[in-house]
Amino acid sequence: MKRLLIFALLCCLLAGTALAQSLDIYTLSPAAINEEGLQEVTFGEEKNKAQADKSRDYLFVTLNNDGPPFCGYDPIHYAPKSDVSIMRLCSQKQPHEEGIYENVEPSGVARTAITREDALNTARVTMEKLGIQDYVLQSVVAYGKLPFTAPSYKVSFGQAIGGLPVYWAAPSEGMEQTNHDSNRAQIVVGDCGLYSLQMMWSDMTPQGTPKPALPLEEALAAFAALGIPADTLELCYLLRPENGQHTATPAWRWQNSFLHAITGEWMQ
Amino acid sequence: MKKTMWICWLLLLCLALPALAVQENVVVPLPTVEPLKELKPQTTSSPYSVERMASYYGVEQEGSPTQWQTYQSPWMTPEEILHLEESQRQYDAGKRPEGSALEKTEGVQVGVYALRPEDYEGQQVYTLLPGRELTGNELLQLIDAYTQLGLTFTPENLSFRNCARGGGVEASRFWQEDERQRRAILTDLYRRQGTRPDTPFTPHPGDDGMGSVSLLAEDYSGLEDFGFYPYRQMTDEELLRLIDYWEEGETVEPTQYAANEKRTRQELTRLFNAPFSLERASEGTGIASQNTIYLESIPVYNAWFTSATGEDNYFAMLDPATDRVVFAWPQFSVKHLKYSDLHLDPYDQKWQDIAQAYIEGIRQDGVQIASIQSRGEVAMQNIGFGAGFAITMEDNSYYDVTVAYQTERVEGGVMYLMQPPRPETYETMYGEGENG
Repeated sequence: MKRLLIFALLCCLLAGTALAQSLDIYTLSPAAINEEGLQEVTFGEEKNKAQADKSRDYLFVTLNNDGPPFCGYDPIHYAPKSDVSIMRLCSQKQPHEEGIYENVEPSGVARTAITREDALNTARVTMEKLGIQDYVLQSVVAYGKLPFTAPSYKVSFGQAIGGLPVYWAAPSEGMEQTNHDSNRAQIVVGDCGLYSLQMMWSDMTPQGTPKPALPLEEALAAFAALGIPADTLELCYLLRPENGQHTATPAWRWQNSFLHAITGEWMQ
Repeated sequence: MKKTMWICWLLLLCLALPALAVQENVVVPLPTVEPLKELKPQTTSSPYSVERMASYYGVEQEGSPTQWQTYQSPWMTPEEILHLEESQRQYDAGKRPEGSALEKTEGVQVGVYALRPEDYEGQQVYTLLPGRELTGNELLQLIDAYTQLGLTFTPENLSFRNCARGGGVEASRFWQEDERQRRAILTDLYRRQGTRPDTPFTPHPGDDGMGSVSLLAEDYSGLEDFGFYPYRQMTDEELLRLIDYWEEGETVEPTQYAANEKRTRQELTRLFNAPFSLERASEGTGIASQNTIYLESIPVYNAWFTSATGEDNYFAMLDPATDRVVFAWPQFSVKHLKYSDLHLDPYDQKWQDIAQAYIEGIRQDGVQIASIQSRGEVAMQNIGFGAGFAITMEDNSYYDVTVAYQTERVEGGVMYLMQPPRPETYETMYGEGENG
């Protein structure tokens, strides 16, 4: 009985929190990446030796002419994101097999000296140095050898707004050119630290008119009215075009179905 | 009576005159060496005509555009044509090539084949060239082969009508839909009724219009064979000859096909709860390891089945020695789904529960799950991402499934193996796991 009471109180608390939460619509723009941090993450103490090739459209820095290590970023104009990539030399000195694209360790433990937690920590530090703070952990996957990469952990972070995940969940009209792995950072870490980073990230500017989110119960009822058998919902943001701009709009999500979290409008 | 006689005479004249005309048009190699003059292609709207290949090469008009000077285009490069002049001088001075390209059928690098013009819209010769610069000896081989045919090699006459290069195409012309359909029917008759051609297939197209030669794959972008198909509709007899050649004189008893199919259907129901109302789309025999790296080199019966709606497909390989399916790959339609860029935690227990319930639901013989291992996040073609699982059953059989994030259901395909992938397979794929 006591447990039931505690559970009921918790439910009320959670529902109350959702009810009280005010959310805004955000406009996307290419993320401002901390360039100094980008170079530091890539080149470490040798960052001053790195030569910037200003002839490229995007920042391209290399320690030698053989290629890696590499880092750069390119604001993508058709979809307001920054495409950031880092490839460090140390991983390429490790043995690897080319042409193998999936080599997940079923145990979840990579054959590395570092642990899953070490990898997660390195990934978080990397994000911090790039000047990114608002993100959610998606997964940590242990890999055997991959193309150009020795055994490692891949840490994936999704973009967040105020801790709520941002999704791009279907090719809505006007978003056809949104890239796969949109608004996501994939950071590969192994025994020599950071191996690589691939990230597409946006800066989010609030429109300045926050409004309270639809309570969970009302959202569930709205889904039910649409004939969608949703039992649990996740409060999140959905990327979509709105009045000629790319926006992140608050939404209640069930699987791949989204309901506008402020207006209750069916989104997809 | 008189009237009938006149009609008979007129009919005879009508039949005889065109026959005489055809007789007059037969190309006879001249006793002296003459330049090969490419006959004007017969203007035709026939779907079997080689002219259909013009758009493939971007050659809508006569001639070969200079901007398409690749080693996969059916002509020679300006450099090779320059070298040819020197080779011709050497040939005229008595130099002869090592080896011959004429009618070569095995390990072809350069090949020259006589054609029956009536089968090839007037073309007399077909030339195969490698996907790289021709060597001096190969230029001599070309000159020599044409000379043996009583012709002069003239590179300007090479075109998609009489030449293929570097694996750019795999046959002299494209197959047409009616030929594909008739081939499927005839293959079925060949296997299940023992129907055979009246005369055997020969590799030389000059014999009967049909031909096939094996290529040196590295010179043809990996292409191993080249097929000669006449620029007219192929007859059933000709298709049967080809089938006989491809099936390598099938030795499986015709009745065994029906037995194998029945057994495979039973297995698909046992392993996947597949419906009985599947239509057999194709079948054959082969070696298991040629279809998947996961299996040994054992002879198998394999077949594709399609659901009544045509949306779901089942591929299976049956080991006739054990009457068990050793490999299967049902593929379920995902056309109703949009691409979703959802990325969630693949290690969340709920994905595993969904995968487990799915396998327990489809397996019909009561065999239970022995273990489930996560394969992390898996990309699912066209629909986004999901959580992958490797599931081993108590009888040691193995399923590979992916639960789509967007529907929280198993979507796409399911891979089944009678035994889990062999460790040595992983070794082959990934090499040793050392980190040095």
